[in-house]
Amino acid sequence: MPLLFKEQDVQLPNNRHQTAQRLIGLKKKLESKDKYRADYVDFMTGIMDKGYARKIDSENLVMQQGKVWYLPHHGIYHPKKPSSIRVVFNCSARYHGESLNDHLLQGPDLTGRLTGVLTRFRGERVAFMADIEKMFYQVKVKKADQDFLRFLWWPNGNLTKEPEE
Amino acid sequence: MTVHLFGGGSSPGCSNFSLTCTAEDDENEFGVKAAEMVKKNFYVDDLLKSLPTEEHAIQVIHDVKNMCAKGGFKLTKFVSNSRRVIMSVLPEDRAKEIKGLDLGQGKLPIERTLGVHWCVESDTFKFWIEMRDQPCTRGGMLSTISSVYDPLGFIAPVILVGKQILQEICHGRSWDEPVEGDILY
Repeated sequence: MPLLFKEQDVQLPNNRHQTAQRLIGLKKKLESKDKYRADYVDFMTGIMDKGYARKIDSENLVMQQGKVWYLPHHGIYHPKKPSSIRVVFNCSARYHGESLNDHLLQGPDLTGRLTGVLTRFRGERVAFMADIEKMFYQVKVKKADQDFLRFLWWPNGNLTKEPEE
Repeated sequence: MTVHLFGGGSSPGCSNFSLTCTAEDDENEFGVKAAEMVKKNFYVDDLLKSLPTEEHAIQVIHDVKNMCAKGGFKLTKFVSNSRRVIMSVLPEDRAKEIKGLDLGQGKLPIERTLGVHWCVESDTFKFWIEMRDQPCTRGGMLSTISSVYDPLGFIAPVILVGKQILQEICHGRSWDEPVEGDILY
């Protein structure tokens, strides 16, 4: 699937510098909290192992102007699940007044379905429910659009090295 | 990243579209019922469904699970008000709360279904109204009343009383002005 851009030919300012700056703040936090660092590194290693994210080959690093975007990220713990961290890639982060989400279409509004789904749920005697594991992560983004979802991270989670894309 | 992200504006739409495609592509292989279910009974990643008999449920769960798997989606965390249906699902695909449960004896848990608490054992919906420490003001009342999530309006008759008080005090009061007097009783 592509990203649903509002414009045919989207142009974004290069925000690599800003994202690199934010990474310094993250580095400090990672250095001062051992558990946070361990969980964060595990998460990042996990998404790379599963192929949800990958390191960019050096020959593909340089992109056509306006066709690349860097996402700042941070980790949060769910209040009810203090053991597992989720790293959030902030698609609404702004640079020069623009964010990735500003350029994306939302698609149809699905909230109207909620009452319908809930009502049908108890229409009959035998009820069951289930959910799809990490649903969004199962949907690939087409190659060209993946460059709008770049982020910076240290190789193998080693903070002493230079962050890579 | 190579995949759609949480917090990405187009992620819910895209993943939903993919799921619908899965249903349409593989309808012949897994049956109309499974396809219908994928189209009608999902709210983003949550599946909620009810059927007249356990046999129907067990069969269609099997089909829909395989259909989703073929489309690359893993259906998991199954719960049902029928122990037989739960037993038909592999333990690792059951909801965490019932994995370790002795299905012959133990009580089924309370699960959240699209934000509403579903007490699986008694098969009823439950509501907790949290009387948090709010000041007795227009703002405090609005906050307490709005904290009840009840999309189907089951307990609207109860909530209405609070809403009526709120409606009355809205005339000529600011948000933080203390409310006193007969109106509260």
